[in-house]
Amino acid sequence: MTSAANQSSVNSSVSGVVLVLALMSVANIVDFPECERNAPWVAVFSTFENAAAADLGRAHPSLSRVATPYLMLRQSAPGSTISFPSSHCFLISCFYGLGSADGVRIHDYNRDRPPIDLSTLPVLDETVDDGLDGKSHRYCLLAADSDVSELFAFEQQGNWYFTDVRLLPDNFVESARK
Amino acid sequence: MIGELCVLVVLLISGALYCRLFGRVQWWLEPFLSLTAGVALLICCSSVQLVLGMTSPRITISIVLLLPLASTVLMYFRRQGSTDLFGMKAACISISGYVITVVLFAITVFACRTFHLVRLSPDSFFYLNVSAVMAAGHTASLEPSLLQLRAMGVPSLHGLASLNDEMYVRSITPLLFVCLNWLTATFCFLAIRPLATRRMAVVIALTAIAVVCTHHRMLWHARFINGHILTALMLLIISGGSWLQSVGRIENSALLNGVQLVALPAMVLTRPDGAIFAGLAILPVLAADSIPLNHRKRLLVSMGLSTIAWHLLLAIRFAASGSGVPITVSGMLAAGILCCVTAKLLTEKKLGGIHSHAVLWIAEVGLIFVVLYFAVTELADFRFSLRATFHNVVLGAGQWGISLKLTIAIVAASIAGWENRDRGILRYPLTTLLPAAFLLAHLRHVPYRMGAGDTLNRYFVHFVPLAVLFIVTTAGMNKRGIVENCGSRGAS
Repeated sequence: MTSAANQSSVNSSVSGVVLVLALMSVANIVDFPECERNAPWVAVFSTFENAAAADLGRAHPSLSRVATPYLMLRQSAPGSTISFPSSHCFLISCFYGLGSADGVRIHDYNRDRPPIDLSTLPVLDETVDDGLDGKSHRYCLLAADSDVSELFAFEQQGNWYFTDVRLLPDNFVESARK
Repeated sequence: MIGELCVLVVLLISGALYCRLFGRVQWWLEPFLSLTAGVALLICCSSVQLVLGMTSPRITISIVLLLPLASTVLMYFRRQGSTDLFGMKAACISISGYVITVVLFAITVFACRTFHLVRLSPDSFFYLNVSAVMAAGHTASLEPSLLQLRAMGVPSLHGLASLNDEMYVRSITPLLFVCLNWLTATFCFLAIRPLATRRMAVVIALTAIAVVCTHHRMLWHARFINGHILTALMLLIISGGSWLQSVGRIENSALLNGVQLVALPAMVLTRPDGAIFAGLAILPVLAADSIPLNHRKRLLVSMGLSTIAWHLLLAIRFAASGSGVPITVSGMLAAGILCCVTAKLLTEKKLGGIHSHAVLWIAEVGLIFVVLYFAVTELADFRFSLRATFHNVVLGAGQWGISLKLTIAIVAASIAGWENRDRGILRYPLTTLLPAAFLLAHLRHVPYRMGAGDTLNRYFVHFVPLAVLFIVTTAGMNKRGIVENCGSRGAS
C-alpha cells in the first residue's frame, strides 16, 4: 500500500472513530437511566440529617438504602475508638463510640454529656428478618436518652447502625417489625 | 475549604516533586500525572505506617511531602552544574500548568462543599470506619477481615480529612474523576496525534471525555465514596501508559514509568482484588519487548513487593486473631513471591526464547478453563452470577443504560475486525475481566447479584476509560496492525 493510500485510510478511520465516539455519547445521553434522570443532579446533602431525609424519603425498600446515612460502629472491634467530627453527624453531634464485648458504649456524647451505654437501654422490640439482599438482619428499637428521642438500631453482619427514629419514614419501624 | 484545598495541593506538590525526579512531560499532562503520583505515594506511605503501627495523618502527609522533596534536593546537589532540573524557561511553563491545576482544585473543592456532591453507601461507611480508626491510631483493633476487604486506598485518602476535623475529603473522588477524564483524553490525543491533525486529535480527546462522562455509572461513581474511580485511574496509568510507551507515542516515558511504579502498589492496596487485576494488566506489558526490560522488571518487583507486604501483614493479623490464614491471603502471598522471583530471573535472552504471545494466550485460555471447571462444579452459583450479570448489563438492572452494552459491542467489534497484536496491552485487561471476575466470585463463595451495587457491575467502572482508549486505537490500524507510515515502533 502506498503512503498516500495509507494516509487516506488513516484519515477515514480517524473520522470513523470520531463519529463512533460522538454517536456513543448521544446514545448514552438519550438512554440515560430513567431513575437517575428524574433524580436531582445536585443533591443537597448538607448534613447527614438531610442525607437521611433525602434517602429515606424515597422509601426505597432495600435496607442498604436505609442504612446509607447512618453512623456505624463495629461492635466486634473491642477498644476501637471512632470519632465523628461534629460537622458531619446528625443529632448525636459529636461522640466517640467505644465497642466492647458486651455492647456499644457512647462516650463524649454531645461532648458535655456523660457516657451512655446502649446495651443498658431497654429493648422495646427485637425482630429478626430473613433478609433483604439475601442477608439476615436483626433490628431492635432502643429507647435512648430523651434528648435523642429514640434510636433505631440494627445489626448487619456484626455492624451496628444507629439513627434517630424521627428521621425514619412513617410506619417504617412498624413495617420493620413485621 | 482552605484546609481541604491545602491537603490537595500538598498531594499535588508531593507528586510533582516525585515526577520531577524522572524529568518532564507536556505541561498539560504533568500536573495530572503528579496528582496521581501524589495519591499513590500517600497510599503507599499509609500502608508502611500501618505496618509500623503509626498511622497519624499528620505523619503521613509530612512523609508524603518530605520524601520526594528530600530526593529532589539530593538529586539537585548530585547534578550540580546542570540546570536541567530547575531550568527557568521550562519551569515557568510547567508552573503555569500547575497553577491552572490548583485553580481547578479550588473550583472542585468549592463545588463539592457548596453542593455536597457525595454519595454514601454502607460500604462507604466501612471505608470511613477504617479511616477513622487509623487516624485515631487504634490500628491494632482493626479486624483482619475488615482490613482485607477495605484495604488501604480509600481509608488513606479520607484519613486526611481528620486534619481538618472532618470525616472525609469531600472533593477527592470528584477530583480523581476529573483527573481520570483528563488522562483518558490526553492518552487518546497522544494515541491519535501522529495519525491526524492537531484539531482532529483534540476533537477525539473531547469526544472521549464525552463518552466517559455519559456512562451513567461513571458519573455516579464520580461522587461515591469508594475505590472504583481510583482503581480506574491507576489501571489507565498502567495499561494505557504502557501502550503509549510501547508504540512510542509519549515524550518522556521515564516520568510515566516512575508514576507506574507507585500506581501499581496503589492499585494492589486499593481493593481486595486489586492485585489480581493489576497482575492481569502488567502481564502483556511484560511481553512487550519495545518497553525497556529494566522497567518491566521494576514493575514486577513493585507489584511483587506490595503484594507480599500487604498480604504478609494480613496473614500476621489473621494468625494473631486466632482464625486461620485464608487461602486468598496465602495464595496472593505466594503470587507476590513469584513476581519477585520472576523479576530476578527475567532476562532479554530468556524472554527472547519464549513466545510471549503464546504465554499470554495460554494464560487467558487457562483462566477461561478454570472458570468453566468451577462453573461445572458449582453450577448453581455460576448460573446465578451469569443471570445477574446478564440482567445488569443487558436488561438494565445495573443502571448503565445503553452505555455499557454499546461500549462492549464496539470493543468486541474492534477486537474482531482489526489486528490486536500491537494493542495487546490494552486488549488483555479488557478481555480477561469477565473470566477473572467469575473466578473471584467462586473464590469468595458469593455469586454476583442483580442491581447497580453488585461487585461485578462496579468492576466495569475500572475498564470504561481503557475501553474508550482501545476504541480510539482502532484508528490507524489495519488488518496487519498499526499502519506503517505512522511513525510508531509497535509493540511486540
